[in-house]
Amino acid sequence: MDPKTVTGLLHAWREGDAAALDQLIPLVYDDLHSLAGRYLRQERPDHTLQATALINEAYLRLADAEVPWQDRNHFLAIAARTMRRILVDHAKARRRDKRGGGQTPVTLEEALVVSGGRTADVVALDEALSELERLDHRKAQVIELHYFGGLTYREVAEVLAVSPATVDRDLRLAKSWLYTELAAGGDDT
Amino acid sequence: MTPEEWRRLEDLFERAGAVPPDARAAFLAEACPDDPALRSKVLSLLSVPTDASGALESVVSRSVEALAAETSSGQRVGPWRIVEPVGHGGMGLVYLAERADDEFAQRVALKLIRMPLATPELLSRFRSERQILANLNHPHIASLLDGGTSDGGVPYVAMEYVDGRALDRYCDEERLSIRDRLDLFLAVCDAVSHAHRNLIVHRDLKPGNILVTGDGTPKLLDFGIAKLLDPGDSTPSETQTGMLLMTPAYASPEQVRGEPVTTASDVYSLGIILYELLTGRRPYDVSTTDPVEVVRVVCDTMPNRPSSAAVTADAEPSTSPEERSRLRRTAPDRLHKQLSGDLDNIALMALRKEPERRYGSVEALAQDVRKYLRGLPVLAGPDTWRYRVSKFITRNRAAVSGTAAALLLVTALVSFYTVRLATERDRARLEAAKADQVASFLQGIFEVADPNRTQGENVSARELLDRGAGRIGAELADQPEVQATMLGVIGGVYMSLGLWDQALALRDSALTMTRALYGASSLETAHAMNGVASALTLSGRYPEADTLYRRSLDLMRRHLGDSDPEIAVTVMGLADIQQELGAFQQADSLYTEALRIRELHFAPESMAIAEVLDATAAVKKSQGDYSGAEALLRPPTPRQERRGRTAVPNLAGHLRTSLGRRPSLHGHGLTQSRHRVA
Repeated sequence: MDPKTVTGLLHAWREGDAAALDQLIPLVYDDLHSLAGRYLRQERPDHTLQATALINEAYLRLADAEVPWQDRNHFLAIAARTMRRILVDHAKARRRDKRGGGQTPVTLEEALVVSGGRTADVVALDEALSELERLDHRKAQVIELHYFGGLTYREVAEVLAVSPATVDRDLRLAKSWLYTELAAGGDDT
Repeated sequence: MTPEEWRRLEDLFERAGAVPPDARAAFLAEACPDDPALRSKVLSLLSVPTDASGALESVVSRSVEALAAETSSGQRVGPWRIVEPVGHGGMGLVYLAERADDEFAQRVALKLIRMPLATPELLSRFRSERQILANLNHPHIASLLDGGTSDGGVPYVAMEYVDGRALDRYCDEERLSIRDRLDLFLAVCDAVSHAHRNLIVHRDLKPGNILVTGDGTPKLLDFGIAKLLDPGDSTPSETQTGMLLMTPAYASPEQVRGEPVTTASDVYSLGIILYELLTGRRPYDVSTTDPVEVVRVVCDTMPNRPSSAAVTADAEPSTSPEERSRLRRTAPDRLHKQLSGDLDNIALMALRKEPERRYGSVEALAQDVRKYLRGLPVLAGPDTWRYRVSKFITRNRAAVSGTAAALLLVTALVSFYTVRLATERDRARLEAAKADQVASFLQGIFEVADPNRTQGENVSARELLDRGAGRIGAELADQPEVQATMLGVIGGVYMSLGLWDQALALRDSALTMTRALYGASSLETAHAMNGVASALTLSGRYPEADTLYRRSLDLMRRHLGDSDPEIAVTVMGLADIQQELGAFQQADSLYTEALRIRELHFAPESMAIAEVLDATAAVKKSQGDYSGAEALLRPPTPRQERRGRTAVPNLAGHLRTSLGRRPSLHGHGLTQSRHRVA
C-alpha cells in the first residue's frame, strides 16, 4: 500500500473532494483489521488503549511523516469511525455464527472478573451510540473519537473545533446516558 | 425522545449537576415541576458511577481483543505458530498452536497472558515458577511444555494440547452413573494430590479446567497457572489480579475473602465439583459480579444435602430431577437414596466453610470416596448441630451477648442431651434419624433468634425457649417420637433455668406421649419417668417423685439388668429424695449402690464418682457421722480438681447447709440437673 495514497486522499478530502473519503475508508479498514491480528503479540500495559494503539499504528503505516496536523486529525476521525465499524461487523458475524450453530470455540467465560459489574457488548454500544447520534450528533462524535479512536480530550476538541471544556461537558452527559442505556439493555454476558 | 426533549434533559443535567447532590431533587422539583419522569431521568444520569467510563472502555477493548484473537491465524509467538483460537480464560486468550519450524508436528495449547503490569520482577518470577510447573509430571495433568515472552513482550505458556470435553459435559453426554463419575473424580483427586505433594496448588479447579479425552482419561489444565500469575506480596491494585484469576462459583471462602490460599482451597473446589457431578447442580448460585455479594454468598450459604438438591426441581426446566437422574442412568428416588448418607457427608465435609474443618488433604477426601465405593464406613459425618449452634452464637456475638450466658447454658444442656442421643444412634439406625430431626428442630429455634430475621430485636433465652416450646406441638405433630424427645429436652432447659413449673408441664406431656408411643413398660417410658421425677424433686414434690423413681427403677432393671450406668442415675435420684425426706439410712445404702455401679463404668477420678462421694458424704454428715464424711472427701481433693470448681465437693459448705432446703440453681441443683436430666 502506498502511503502517499493515503496522504493524498486525506489532502484531497480536506480540499473538499468527498469521493476521497470513499477511497480512504476501505484502506483504513483493511489496515486496522490486519493490525488487529498482530496486536496480540504486543504488550499493552494499559488495556484501555488497545484501540488507540491500533489506530496509531495504522496511521504510522499509512500516512507520510509530513502530513499536516489537520489531516492527521481527520485521519484519526476516520479511523475511529472505521474501528467502530470493524468491531461491530465482527461482533455481528460472531453472533451469526453462534445462532447458525457454527463451530464456536470452547469458551471458558466463567472465569470472568469479579469486579466491574455488568458488561455489554459492542453491538449494544453501537446501537445506543446511533440513538445518541440522532439526538445530539456532536456528543456521539465525542464518544466515538474518545472511545473507539482513543483520542485525548484535546485531540477530540481539535478535530471537532470546540474547546476542551466543551468536550469534557459533552462526555459527562454522553457517557452517563450510554451507561444507563446499556445497563437497561440487559445484556449481561 | 425527541431532540427537543434531549436539549431540555441536557440543560437540567448541567444545572442540577452544579448543585450539591443532596439538593438536586429539590432543585429539579422547582426547575421542572411538570415532568417527574424527566426529573428522575436526570437524577439517575447524575448518579451514574464514576467508573462508567471504564465500563465503556472495556466494551471496546474486549471486542478489540476478540477481533485480535480471531484474526490471529498464522501469527508467530516464540517458536509457535497460531492455528486458531480455542478459548478465552481468566488469564487471557488460548490458542491451538503448532511449532513454527515444522521440525516435528507438535500441537500445543498456547496461552497468551495479559498482565495488567508486566514488570521485570513479575516476569522473572513468572519464569522461575514456570520451571517448577514444567517438572510436574502426572498422567492426568496436562504438562507445561514451553514458556516465554513474545516479541511484543507478552508472556505466554505452551501446554500439552488436550482434545477433550469439560468434565461435567463429558459425564452428562456419556450418561455416566454415579459410580463411574466417582471413579473419574478419584482420578482427578489423584492428580491434584500429586501436585500438592510437589507443593503446587491449583487455585482454579473447575470442570472447565478438567478435560476428559475420548478414551475417558481426565487431564487437568492450568496447574499452578493461577499462582504463576498472582503477584502475591505486592500492592493492593495488583492483588486485584488474584481476584481475576479465580472462578467465584468454585472458589473457597478464604479465596473470595482474599486470604491465603492453601491445599484446603483445592479440597473445597473439588467439593463443588463433586457436588455438581453427583447432583447436576451447584451448592449455591454465584451469578452476581458484585464482590461484596460474592463474599456473602460463598461464605454464608450453607449448601443443601446433595441427596435433596439432586431431586429438587428448580427454575431451569432443562434440569428437572428426572433429567438429572436420567443423565446418571437412574431414577430420582434411587438417586436420592444413593446420595443420602455417606455421599452427602463426604461432599459437605469437603465444602465446610472453615479450611481446618474440611478434609485434611485431597488424599483424605479421595480415601473417603474409595471407602464409600467399597462399602466401608467413611470418615465424614454430618455436621453436628452443636457446631451449628455455636456457629450461630459466634456469628451473632454482638446481638447475643446480652443473653449469651443463658444461651450457653441452653447449649450445654442440650448438647449433653444430644450426646446421649448419639450413643443411642449406635444402638439403632432409627435413633440416628431422630437425633437428626431433633438437631434441626433445635437449630430452627435458634434461627428464630437470628438478628437477621428478628430485625435486631433482642431475644432473651426465655423467649427463645417459650417459642421453641410453642413450636413443638405445631411443627412436630407428624413426628411424635421427635415431639416426645423435644418436650423432654426443652423441659430440661427450663429446669436448668429454675422454671420448675414449665419444666414439669413439658415433661409430663413427654411422659404421656412416650407411654403411648412405646408402651407403659418400655425403657423409653422409664427415661421419661426419670425426667418427670427430677422436675418433681426440684419442685419439692418428693413423695410423687419417689413413686415415679421407684417405678422407673423397676422398669430399668427389667430392661438393663442391675449394673447399667442408667440405673445409677435413677438410684441417685431416688437417694436424693430419701435424703430430702430425712431417710438417711435408705439414702446411704442407695448412694452406696450407685457408687458400686459407677465404679464399674467410670474412672476413680471421674465426675460421676465424685458426685456420688459428695452426696454420700452429705448423708453421713446429716447422720452426724462427720469423720465418715471427712474420710470420703479427704483423699479425693486431687482427683476432683481436674474437672473444675463447681463440681468440687465443699465440706465446709455442706457442714453449713441445713437440710430440707430446695436445691438452688447455682449450687448443688445445677450439678444435679446436669447429670440427671433424662
